[in-house]
Amino acid sequence: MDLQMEAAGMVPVTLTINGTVHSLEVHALTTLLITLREHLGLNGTKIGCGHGQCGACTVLIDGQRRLSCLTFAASVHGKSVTSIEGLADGPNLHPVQQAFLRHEGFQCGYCTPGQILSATGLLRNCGRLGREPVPPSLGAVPRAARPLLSEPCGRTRSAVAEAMSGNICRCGAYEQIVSAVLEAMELEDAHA
Amino acid sequence: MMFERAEFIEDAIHAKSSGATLLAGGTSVVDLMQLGLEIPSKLTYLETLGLDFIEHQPNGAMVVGSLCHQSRLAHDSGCAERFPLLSEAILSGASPQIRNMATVGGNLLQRTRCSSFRDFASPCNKRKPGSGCPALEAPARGYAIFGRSENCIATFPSDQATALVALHASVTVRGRVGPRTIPLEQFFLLPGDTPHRDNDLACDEVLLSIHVAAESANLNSAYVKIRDRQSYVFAIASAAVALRIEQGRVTFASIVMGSVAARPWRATESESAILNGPATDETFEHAARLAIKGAHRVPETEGKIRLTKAAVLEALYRAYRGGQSR
Repeated sequence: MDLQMEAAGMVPVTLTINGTVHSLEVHALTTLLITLREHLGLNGTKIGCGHGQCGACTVLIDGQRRLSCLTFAASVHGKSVTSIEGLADGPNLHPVQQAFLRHEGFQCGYCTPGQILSATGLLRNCGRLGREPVPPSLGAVPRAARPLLSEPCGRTRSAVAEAMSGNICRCGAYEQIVSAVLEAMELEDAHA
Repeated sequence: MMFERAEFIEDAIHAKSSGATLLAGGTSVVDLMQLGLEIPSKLTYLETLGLDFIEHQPNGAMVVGSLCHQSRLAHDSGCAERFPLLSEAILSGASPQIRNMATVGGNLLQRTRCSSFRDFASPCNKRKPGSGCPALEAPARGYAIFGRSENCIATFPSDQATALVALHASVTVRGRVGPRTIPLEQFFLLPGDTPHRDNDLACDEVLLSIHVAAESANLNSAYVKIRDRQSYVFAIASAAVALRIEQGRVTFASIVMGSVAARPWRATESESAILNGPATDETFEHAARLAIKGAHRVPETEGKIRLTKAAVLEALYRAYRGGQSR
C-alpha cells in the first residue's frame, strides 16, 4: 500500500492554472473555488449557491466543464484548470467572450464567467466529434491518448438551451445567451 | 483530518472499514459536507483506483466501472446504441457539469434529497435514527407513495438507477471477505425499521462495477421524467420502460418507476398484464392503472399518483413507437 497521508489536513497540491504551474499547500477540504479566489486572487470565478445548483463557479478541468464549488483542490492535483482569467489571448477576447458581448448575453454579469466557461467547455467537446457518431474503436484507445469527451449538441436553440442548462441566470438573459453560444458554434463550424 | 489517495481496491476497503469518507466525483458527498451532514475524520479519494472502464463483452453484456463518469457512459457509443434507455435516463439528470464530475457508482450511492434529511435543524430518522420524521406529519408530493414505513418516507432520486433496474442490472461489491454480486433492485433497501440504511453495502464494502446483461440490449425503450422545469431538477415521478415487441405482441416487458419510493419501484403487475399480449391502447392504459395500484393515497399525493401513471403510460407509448419506427 502506497498511500499519501497528511496530518493536520494540509495537502500539497500542484495545479496548472491558466497555463501557469502553482504549487500550493491547501486544507484537504478547501474547494477549488476558494483556492482560486482566496489563495490565488483569481476572483473571476464566482461563488453562487455553493451546492452545485447554479453553475456560477464553472471552470474547465482538463478541458471539461466542472463545478469548482464541489471540487476539492486536493482532488485535482496534477490537473489543468482554466478560469475566466485564462480565456483571452492578451488583449484579444476569446470568441465566446466576443459573442457574449455582441449579443449582450448578460445583465448584471454575475453568472457570466460561469456561462462563458460552460459554453467554452461545450464548444471544445461538441466539435466535429460531437456531431458524428463516436467511432466504435474509441474504447480501445489507451487512456492517455483518449480524446476529450464528446458532448453531442445540435445547432438549434433548444439543443443549446439544454446543453447550457447547468447555468442559471437570475436576470433571465437566456435568449441572448443561447444566441451567443449558437453564433460561437457556427463560427467554429465555419473554421473547422 | 487526513487525506489519502487510494491506489488499490484494498486501500479503499481498509479506509471504509476504518470509518473514512470515500470521495469519488464529489457532487453528492462534498455537498453533504457543505451542509454539515457529512463530517469526515479521514477523506479517501478514489479516482486513482482506475475503476473508470466501460467494457463491452463479446457476448453483448456491458460492465461499467463504478468510477466511470456519467457523461462518458451516456455518450459511449456502445451504451447509447445498445442500452439507449440508460443514456437517455442519465442525460435527463442534473447538468452537463455535474455529469462530467459524478460517477456511475456514486450516483447509485447518493443520499436522498428529502428536505428533512438535508436540513440539519430538522429531526430525521435516516440521518439520526429514532429522532423522528417531520415528513410523516406533512404529506406532500415529494415523498414516497410506495414502500413507506412509519419511520421514513424519503424517495431515492436517481434517474440512472431507475433505468438500470429496468435493464435488470446487477452490481458487484467487494469487502474484506471478497466480492459478491447483487441484483440492483435488491441492492436498495426499503426503510422499514432501519431507515438509516439506504442499501445493502456492508461497512467494509465498496462498489466495484455495474453489470448489464446482453438480454437487456437492443430493447425498445423510453425514459419519461416529469418535473417542474425542463432541465436540471429532480423528478416528481419518472418511468423507465423497456419492451420487446414481436409481430405486435409484447414478449418482454420491464416497467420501473422512479422517485416514488426508497428504491426504483418495479410495476410487476403491469409487466405481467402486457406480457404475451397484443400492444394496444387498452392494454397500455390497463398497465398504467395497475402501476399505481397500492400507492399511498391522501389528497396531497393524488397529483403525484396521477403524474406517475401518466409517466408510465407515456413511456409505454414512446417505447412502443420507437420500436415501430425502427
